[in-house]
Amino acid sequence: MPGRTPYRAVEAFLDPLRHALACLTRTKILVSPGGHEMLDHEHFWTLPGDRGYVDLRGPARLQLSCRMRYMIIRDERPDYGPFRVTTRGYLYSLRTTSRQVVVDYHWHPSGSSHEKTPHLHIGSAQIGRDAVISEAHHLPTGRITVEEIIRMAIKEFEIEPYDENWRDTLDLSETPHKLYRSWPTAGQITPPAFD
Amino acid sequence: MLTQREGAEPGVDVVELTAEESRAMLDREARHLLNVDAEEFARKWHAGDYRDSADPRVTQVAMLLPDAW
Repeated sequence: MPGRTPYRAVEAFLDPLRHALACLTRTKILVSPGGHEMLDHEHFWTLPGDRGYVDLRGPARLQLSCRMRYMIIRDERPDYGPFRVTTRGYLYSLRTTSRQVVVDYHWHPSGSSHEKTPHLHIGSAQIGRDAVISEAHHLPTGRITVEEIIRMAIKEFEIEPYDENWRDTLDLSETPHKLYRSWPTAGQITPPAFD
Repeated sequence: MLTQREGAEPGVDVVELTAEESRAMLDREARHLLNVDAEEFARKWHAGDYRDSADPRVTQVAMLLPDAW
């Protein structure tokens, strides 16, 4: 999402995420030092708490962790700049309050793993003894948004939202990201190192 | 803005970490998940010791490493 200044570009990037996360939790987004101003430098945002996990309300006793890496760049294209944020990776994780990972969604195109496209890992505690799958397997997905994780938590795991209008809030929050991103799914085009 | 309701401030604030706070966070996670401190993790990462690692915990820690990618 674009901004007239680096700060405005980061604000445009983070504000939808603030609204989306507020559907599920009352927490903070922690930004790495310089993450509002420094151009052409990788930054991250994460949630606070034990290893970045925050408690969710509901019978499943789950916690959520969200992390992203991003850069503030110049973009001369009409309506894309002069400054905007480009994402460089994400990690979304659901785990139980006893710290057993349920599912991790990853995209780390420049990370250590050989897998550069969006994928998920099933938590080892969710896998039976004779399973073919292990937590190390990279199972391909499309590009996943924070909003999709929040919808999944509410719809599939009965997490109790704070926002009774969470459907509309998440749709509104997700729209600018989907308008400006350059690739949506792993299979459509090979994702660039950054979007 | 498209995503904000009129007058509605979300219940999630944004806080920028200090360099010390960021390093302490990385150190805590590296010790807890991988049994190494932040300095050792950074050294191993930049030396390529985690290349092709399929361990999701490495990714989780690396997300907090400045200029990792």
